[in-house]
Amino acid sequence: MSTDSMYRLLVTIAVILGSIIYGFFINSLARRITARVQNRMGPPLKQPFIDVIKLYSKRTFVTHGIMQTLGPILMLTGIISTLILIPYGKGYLTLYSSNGDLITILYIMTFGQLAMALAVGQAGNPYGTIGVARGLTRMFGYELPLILALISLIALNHSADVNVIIANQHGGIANWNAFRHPFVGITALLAMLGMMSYQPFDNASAPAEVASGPITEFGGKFMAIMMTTNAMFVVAKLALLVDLFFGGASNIFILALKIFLLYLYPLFVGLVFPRFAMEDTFLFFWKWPTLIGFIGLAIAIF
Amino acid sequence: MKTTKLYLGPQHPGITGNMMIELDVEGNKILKSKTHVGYLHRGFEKLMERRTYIQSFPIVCRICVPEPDVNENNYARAVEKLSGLEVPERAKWIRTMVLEMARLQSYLLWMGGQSGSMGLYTMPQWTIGDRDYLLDRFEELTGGRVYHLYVWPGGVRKDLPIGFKTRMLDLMDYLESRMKDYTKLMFENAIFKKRAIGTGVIPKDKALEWGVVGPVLRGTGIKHDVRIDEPYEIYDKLEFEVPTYEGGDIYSRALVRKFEFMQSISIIRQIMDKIPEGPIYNRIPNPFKWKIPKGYTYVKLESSRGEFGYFMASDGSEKLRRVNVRGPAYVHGISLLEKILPGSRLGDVSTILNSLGVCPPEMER
Amino acid sequence: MDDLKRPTLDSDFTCDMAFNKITKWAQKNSLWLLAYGTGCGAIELSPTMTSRYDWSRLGIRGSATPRQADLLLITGYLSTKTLKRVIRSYEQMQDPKYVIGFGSCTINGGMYYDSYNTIKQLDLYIPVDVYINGCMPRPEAVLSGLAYLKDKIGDKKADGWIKYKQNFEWYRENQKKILKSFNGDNMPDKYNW
Ligand code: SF4
Repeated sequence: MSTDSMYRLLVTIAVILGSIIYGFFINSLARRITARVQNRMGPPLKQPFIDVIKLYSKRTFVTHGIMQTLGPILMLTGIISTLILIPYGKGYLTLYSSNGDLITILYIMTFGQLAMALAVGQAGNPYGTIGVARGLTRMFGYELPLILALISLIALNHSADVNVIIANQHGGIANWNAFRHPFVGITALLAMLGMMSYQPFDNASAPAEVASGPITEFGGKFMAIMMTTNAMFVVAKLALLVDLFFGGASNIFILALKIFLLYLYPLFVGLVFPRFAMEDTFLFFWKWPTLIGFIGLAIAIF
Repeated sequence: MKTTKLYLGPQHPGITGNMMIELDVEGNKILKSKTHVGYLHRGFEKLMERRTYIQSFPIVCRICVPEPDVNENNYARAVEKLSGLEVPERAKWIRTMVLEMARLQSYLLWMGGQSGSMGLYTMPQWTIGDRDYLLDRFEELTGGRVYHLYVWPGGVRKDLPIGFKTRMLDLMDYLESRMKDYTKLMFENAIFKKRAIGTGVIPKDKALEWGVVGPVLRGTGIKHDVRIDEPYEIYDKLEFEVPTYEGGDIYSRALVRKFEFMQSISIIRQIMDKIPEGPIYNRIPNPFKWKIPKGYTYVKLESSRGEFGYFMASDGSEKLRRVNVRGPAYVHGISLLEKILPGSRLGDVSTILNSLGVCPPEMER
Repeated sequence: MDDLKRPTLDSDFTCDMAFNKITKWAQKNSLWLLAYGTGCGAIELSPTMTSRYDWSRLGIRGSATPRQADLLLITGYLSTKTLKRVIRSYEQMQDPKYVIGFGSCTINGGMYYDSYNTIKQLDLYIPVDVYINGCMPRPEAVLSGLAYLKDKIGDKKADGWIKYKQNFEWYRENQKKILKSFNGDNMPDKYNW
């Protein structure tokens, strides 16, 4: 193995570990912020780490079949493959992003969730099944505007390569895609609300309706894997959005800052809104965001 | 489409306590619902037959946990009616104040539950935190946070503490100012409205026939309130009105409750303003030898969830012969729920349950 | 209570309790509690978890299903019908798990000492790690009970779940005395399923 690919591998591993830690960190910051809005102290910053260590140290390991055991692991694989296809900066920090383009990323992103759906199906809990159905419906909803926004981007840049799209945004805030192409930016931001599963779009795991939704039957170590995966997934999604719409980042710290700022937006929306009913979720995404997305696409093409 | 059987509860975060709803769902639609009870049955009515009149007091307040004072008040008034005991004027005013405070705290709890069931988690954190200030006043007055054992046959146990009036009025100002925030966050919230309007509708022409009471009944547009229709304590000396909203859905119920919340604040202000001086209780005979003449009676009052009645019969001994508690939750939680749930969405079960004010411990006693 | 065999420190037991420092610290500081309000005590939990007392700063939070929960709070009286659900919920939880008996009803029947439908002493049916007394314990009492449980976990003394495993037959026997139609109701006879 050449030193170059060696370095790239090391950086990749560092990014994967870093994304776990950073994912947990913004999660706990979010919990603190939520707590302040709600007039209280909130958990300490290390709480997610404690939770995960505790879950890994659980003694019993109840499983209902091979697929349930495999599901979380497949999900982890899916997320790691997504993670390494996204550029996090320049040089080695582009990881393996030159090996795949936007379409690949989108495709691989859904892989983990489908694996999860299979696992939940085997666990046999009705609330889990309903939760998965809701999750997939929501995905179906927000993917349309998201894909419209991404197609517009591809059309504007004449390339589906994330690195090219980042390079085209050089030169100040005004050049960021979110501001240069406001319709596309708005569509993406609205679709992002659905991606982050805060209220109003957290139907899949609404406690008052379907207990904990898909994860109802998953405890202990499964849950720990899922929490880790989620932390990585949040970072991956946000990094992708930052790359595509907010000018990417020249170094990892600016990227971290941008990710955090972007994360605040669904968080604050979620704090002041109850959740939509299931049908409304779907209708919401297929109405205004889609319309704006089409306008953006029209402007992009003509 | 396949019909699935879902058991909502007893261990389920969306249920307002320890009960179970068995649902037949098809997709997202409910076809049939059935309430299962019995998880909280303690046999109150039997236990009370074994205790003297005064010994029953600690038990009655446990009948409805979110709102214990209505039970104490009802029970005390029933005992007074049976034994012909007089209540001093000042005690009546204090009792009314306690009832209104109970209403306020119960509505704060309801606001938290209603919005929490829709996923608006900021709201319960605010309202239940604010409810604690009311519990502080309760503690100052009675010594207990949730269960007070404050109302007594023949009066109340203790007089108002020194400075209670100012602290109470300050609290009322605080709650009134908080209501602005609540209105913005909950009652005027676009998504709250979207989910609440047109959900869980009770038709106006069926409401009386189905035995609906309280804010739920007023939400269908029928004016009915025990405080006005058959005034007890000193409600005839106070100024207030009964709000009604047409629609019969969750939103109109919410508006009724919001209106009554503000009204309770104004009632407490009136009481603080006009409360007369005087003794607060009439002595009762030795409670262990207190024989109450033979007879029976029915007393009722308007709790925050609706008409709450006690039927009591005595046989001339130290102990009660028979008591029957008629609470609103029994009707709302069992027969009404089974009528209005079919046809609604699975996600709305918990919301409807909260808006009806179903309180399982009171259903089963 | 005399016939309750105390867990002995055999190899099995030490193996179960041999947590290292880090896991012990994590288990102590992250307690997820099963959202199951079994009795009237549940009403004081809402102030404890919301803004005024806020137990999340102690690392406690609710969890919707038994699979993810560590802590079962029995909030007060248990009717026999609920006892069955409690046993099922408890057995579905994953080790290590803890139980807090909340209110005098769980200790000796409290004010329903003569009721025909409630159980009087909780630890005949499931092992209890900490009792919080009071007829409705105040939020401060709840928090102090939770803090006590944390200390117990830290000292490796919260061994209720091992006790349950090792004295399983004894507990089952007691449960069957109260729940007459135990197996007829699809209650599993084996532990942890
Ligand atoms: S101890 Fe008191 S408050 Fe707790 S459940 Fe029993 S009666 Fe209710």
